[in-house]
Amino acid sequence: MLTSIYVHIPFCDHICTYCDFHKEIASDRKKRNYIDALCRELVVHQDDLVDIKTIYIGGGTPLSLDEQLLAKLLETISQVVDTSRLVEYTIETNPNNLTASKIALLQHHGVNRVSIGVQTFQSAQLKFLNRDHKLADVTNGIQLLRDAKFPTISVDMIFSLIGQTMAELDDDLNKVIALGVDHISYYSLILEEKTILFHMYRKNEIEPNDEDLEGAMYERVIDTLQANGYDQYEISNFARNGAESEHNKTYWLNRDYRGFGSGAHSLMDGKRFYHEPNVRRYIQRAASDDFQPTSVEVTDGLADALMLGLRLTKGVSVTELNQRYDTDLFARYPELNNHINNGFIIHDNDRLFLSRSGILLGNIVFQTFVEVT
Amino acid sequence: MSKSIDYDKIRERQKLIRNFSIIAHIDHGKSTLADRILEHTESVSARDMKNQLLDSMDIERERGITIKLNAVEIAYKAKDGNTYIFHLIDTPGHVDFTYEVSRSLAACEGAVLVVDAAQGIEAQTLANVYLAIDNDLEILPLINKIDLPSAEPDKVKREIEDIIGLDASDAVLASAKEGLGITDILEQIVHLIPAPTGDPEAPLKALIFDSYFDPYRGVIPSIRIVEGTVKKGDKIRMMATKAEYEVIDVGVFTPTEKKKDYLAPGDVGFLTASIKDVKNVRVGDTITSVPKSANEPLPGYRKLNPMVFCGLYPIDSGDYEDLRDALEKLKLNDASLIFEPETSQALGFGFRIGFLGLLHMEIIQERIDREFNIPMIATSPSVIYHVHQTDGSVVNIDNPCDMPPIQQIDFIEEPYVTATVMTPEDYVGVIMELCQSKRGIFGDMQYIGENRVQLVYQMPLLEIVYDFFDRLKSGTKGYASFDYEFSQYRRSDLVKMDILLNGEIVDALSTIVFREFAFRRGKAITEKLKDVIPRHMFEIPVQAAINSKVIARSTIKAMRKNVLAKCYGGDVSRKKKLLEKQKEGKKRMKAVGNVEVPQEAFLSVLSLDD
Repeated sequence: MLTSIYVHIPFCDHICTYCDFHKEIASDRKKRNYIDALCRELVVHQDDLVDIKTIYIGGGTPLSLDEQLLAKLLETISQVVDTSRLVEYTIETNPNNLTASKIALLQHHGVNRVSIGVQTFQSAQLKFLNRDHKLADVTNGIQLLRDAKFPTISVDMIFSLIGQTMAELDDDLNKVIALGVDHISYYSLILEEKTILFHMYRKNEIEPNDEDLEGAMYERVIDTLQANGYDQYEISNFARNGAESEHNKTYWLNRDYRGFGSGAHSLMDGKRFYHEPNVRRYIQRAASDDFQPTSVEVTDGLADALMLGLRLTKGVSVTELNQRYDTDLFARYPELNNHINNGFIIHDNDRLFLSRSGILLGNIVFQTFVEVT
Repeated sequence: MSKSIDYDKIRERQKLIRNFSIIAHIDHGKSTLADRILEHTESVSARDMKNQLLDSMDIERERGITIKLNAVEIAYKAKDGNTYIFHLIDTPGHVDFTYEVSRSLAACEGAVLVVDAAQGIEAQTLANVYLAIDNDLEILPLINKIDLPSAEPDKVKREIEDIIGLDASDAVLASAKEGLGITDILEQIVHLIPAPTGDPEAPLKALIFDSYFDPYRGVIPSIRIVEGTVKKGDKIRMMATKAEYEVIDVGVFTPTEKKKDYLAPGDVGFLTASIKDVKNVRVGDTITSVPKSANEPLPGYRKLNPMVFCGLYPIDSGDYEDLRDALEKLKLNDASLIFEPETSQALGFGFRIGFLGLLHMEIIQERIDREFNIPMIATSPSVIYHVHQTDGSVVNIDNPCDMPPIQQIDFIEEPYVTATVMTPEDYVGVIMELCQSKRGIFGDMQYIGENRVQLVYQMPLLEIVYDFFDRLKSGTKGYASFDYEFSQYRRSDLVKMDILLNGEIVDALSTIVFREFAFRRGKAITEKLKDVIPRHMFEIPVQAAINSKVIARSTIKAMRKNVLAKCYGGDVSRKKKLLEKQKEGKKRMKAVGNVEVPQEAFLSVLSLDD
């Protein structure tokens, strides 16, 4: 049963140096055509959307859309989904996109969660990352949300920035905790190919942090947030008072989701597929109601369930997986025993979950569940 | 069976045959010249032209060098009105391939010597020219790249006369790139290179100068007919291996295969005879006919002995037989390659391989990887040491692991080479410093031409194996050229240095070093290994030791953080790809004890900046 949808808005006002998502800086006309196409895709598939519980509008920078386009998108979603039954309805934004009128528009359509890209509180780092918000935008934006009694606020942060010191990280941690938001995603900086940072790295203009420092920073993030009431419920995600992201949990619990828009990914009935990340062609094809995915990959459900499920700190239930996939986990993946012996995985009653060292070296565990030829 | 042969016609045709090679230093434009000749004689339509047509192996094209020889038949209508049959036999330019050069020269009556009009004679050119003169070939000098602003053809002419001792007054001035001088050289080939001698009615003598393997037709030897004729249906015998076959087809390369009724004296082409066993066809052997056998085989080649050795081990031990198969196939047209099975505690079953030189080694490794797709580990190269033991006996060691215990060693001798470097005079200081730091013993220094100097050193081959080429190139901005040949064995103070990973000796990383260099090199190797071996779940000490005494140490720290952060809007496939990449990288490493060692680690000892 399909309970979650993802909606992709591939537009930004500027390009951040670390970002390799599918995004572009586009003309207003292109944005209009895209939103038209996207709305069409939603309408064409509305029969699949009767049981939707979570919606996530990501990007790009969705809230950078002007109010007219934003309104059109939200109205269309309200037409095809019964928003009164949603448990979570998130939109991503930069701090400087938050205005009283946009917040009102979001609330009018039932959006109950915003995810704000804060990343760091160090001005020089913000500039280096080519973020275009100012520190004041963060507090102002959050104040506007509070004034409007907006239900749930999440912020995205990055650690192990180029040249970042432990003292700077501590400062970031103090400031993000002081915001008092409900949810924090704290990612380590990754030099992805096709980013400005990666090109600088290739030209030896920047040097990534030493693995030891990165490890120490990661532990500092986990410990500091835990000590301040934010429970780590996933590798990079922390929630206060149980405010875990229901939408993102559909990914980690390997449940179906449907992606709408250029480059959006889906998992339905054990098949993963996605739209080609190309805005122009997405618009062209939408004109003839052609929303066929680019490629369809039949997945190994058990492998994915383990690879993703173990990202959650509560881990997976052995019995549940054995029943769901009619198998014996330990016979299928004898390496699980090595991970347990090495102390990466803890086997407690019926559950398997990562230890602290397992969280730090998660890829060693996750590699067990991918095949290489 | 087939129609009877008209010998008079063959004799008339033979007068019109010209067989020649092109000798040149790397980059002096040999392949471009070959391309122009092919174009000029309309052997190949412009549409089919790929640059550097004769170089068919990918590696050759990429590196811009010729490794394997190729032979092409070309028709050329000369100014005298006759149409001549040219056989152009390509030769490699690099010193490592002297053996192959001698093979192709043996199939020719003449050679075009290409010299770069700006660079002049290079060290490697000399060796090949003398080889050609030894083979009694007519040599036609050609000064190439005269279109370059820096071209000094008169100076180069003088160099050819002064250094090589050839008459360069008729040297053709050419630019293969621009197509200049091509007709001149073609006419010289017609008039100056003699037609092949050889009696078509004599018993067959055909020289095998190359061979390749075709999965459908078996081994296909490339041959030069010296005496007699060969045609479809003939019964033939390999004079060295005594193997007998019935000829299925004969033909020439134009450059694609073209079948012929027969091959006669002077012809250069191929024959097929369903030859299944690669061992029966030896390059350098003579093919004769069974009913009418020749008494004596043709003289073989100057056989060169391998000077550089290394171990090759499949990463996946299941590939061992495939690696043997690959080596046998490569040996088919590269008789200079020798190999025998060996075992390493660290790497399992593999082969000890002998090469003519470093480039030869690199090429073979690359060909195994590309043509046979067998992932493998190469150990650092070694030379042959003469180890004199206390009991008076002498053992030859080409693998550091076979070194006797230190108490049993009286002294060790290592091979020295005579190294000849030609350089613009500005770099003499740099080169002398380099040679001295490599234990070179100064021999001679001479001015050749106005600004060019020839330096001769006695140097340990071992030191040449360690990054000498690279440092010579970078130290002289590529202006110096270099050649070497074995001179003698000399007594040296050498020791075996072991490398320990996590406390255990990795036999494949053991090297022989000059005692005075041991500390420095040990430190460099341990530092380098620390960088190339990825972090593990545990800390790994890396040690260098002589006779179990540790002389250098570094530490590979334990893994601290390795976890993917973000889930990109549900893009799970991408996360998986990253994990697959990590896992794949691990697969290309060799497990030594509980340490995963990447291939580059085994060669890292070679590229040290000491």
